[in-house]
Amino acid sequence: MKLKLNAHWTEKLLKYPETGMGYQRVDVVLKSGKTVSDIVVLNAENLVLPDQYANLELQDIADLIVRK
Amino acid sequence: MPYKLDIDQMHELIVQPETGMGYQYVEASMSDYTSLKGVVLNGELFIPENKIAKIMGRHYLTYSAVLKEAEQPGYVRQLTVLRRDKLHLGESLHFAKIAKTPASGAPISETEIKQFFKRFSPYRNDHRITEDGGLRSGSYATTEADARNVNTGTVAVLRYALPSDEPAIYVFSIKPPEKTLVRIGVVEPANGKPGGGVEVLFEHGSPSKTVTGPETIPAG
Repeated sequence: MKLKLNAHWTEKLLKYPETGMGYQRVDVVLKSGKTVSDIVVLNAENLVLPDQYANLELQDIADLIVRK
Repeated sequence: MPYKLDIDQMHELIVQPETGMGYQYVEASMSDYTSLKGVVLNGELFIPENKIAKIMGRHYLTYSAVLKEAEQPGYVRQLTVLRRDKLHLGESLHFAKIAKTPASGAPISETEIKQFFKRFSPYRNDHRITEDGGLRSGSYATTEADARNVNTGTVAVLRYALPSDEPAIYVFSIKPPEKTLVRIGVVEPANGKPGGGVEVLFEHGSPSKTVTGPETIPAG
């Protein structure tokens, strides 16, 4: 399931190195306090989430941390 | 000037191991009693170390042309095959040894003048390419040489272990200034893909007007 990020998150992600050509691996920190680890972001704009997070919305995201 | 070997020398070399595919490192005692290290090609042609770059460099001649220009047998008195570590040929001439590790773990190196790189992307609006034709810091590409192995977007996905199965059909060309800092390595298997391609991590990106494209290749 892909969640399209807005300009705020895209701009933040573009400040960090890629993990590979065209993608980054991130930890998604939710406002609920939960962290969804090791999620792929494509082209700094498409968050590829597991199916169990199909209902996740942008407003639920507190932070995106690019993994090294 | 390269030197042809005589039949006895050829027979002597052919029973010894190669250093690499089609060549042997040797030390040659010459007819003037000087000693030269170099390489023997195909068991028959000795090229001294200090001539290798000129003869075998970027504007290399065909083997038959080199053979035609070579001195006739008689200049080389004796040959000793050397271990690989006894000779270092052109390592400083080659653009960075490609580490057998991912680029992120490779040592930093510098690009050479007029060196091209390619970036394969499923996205025409690749956000790593800036509006003024630059490449952002921490972005990946591949070498022009490795890109020749890629004729479809699907091959790119497999070779560079991209996480999305969407064919990477958009190809950007990057021509960074000389001495741009990069790390070069090999793509590890990841995302269910085999990897194995060469990956180049642009430590600080590449400035404006150095990225062109994209060209489009078949999906596969």
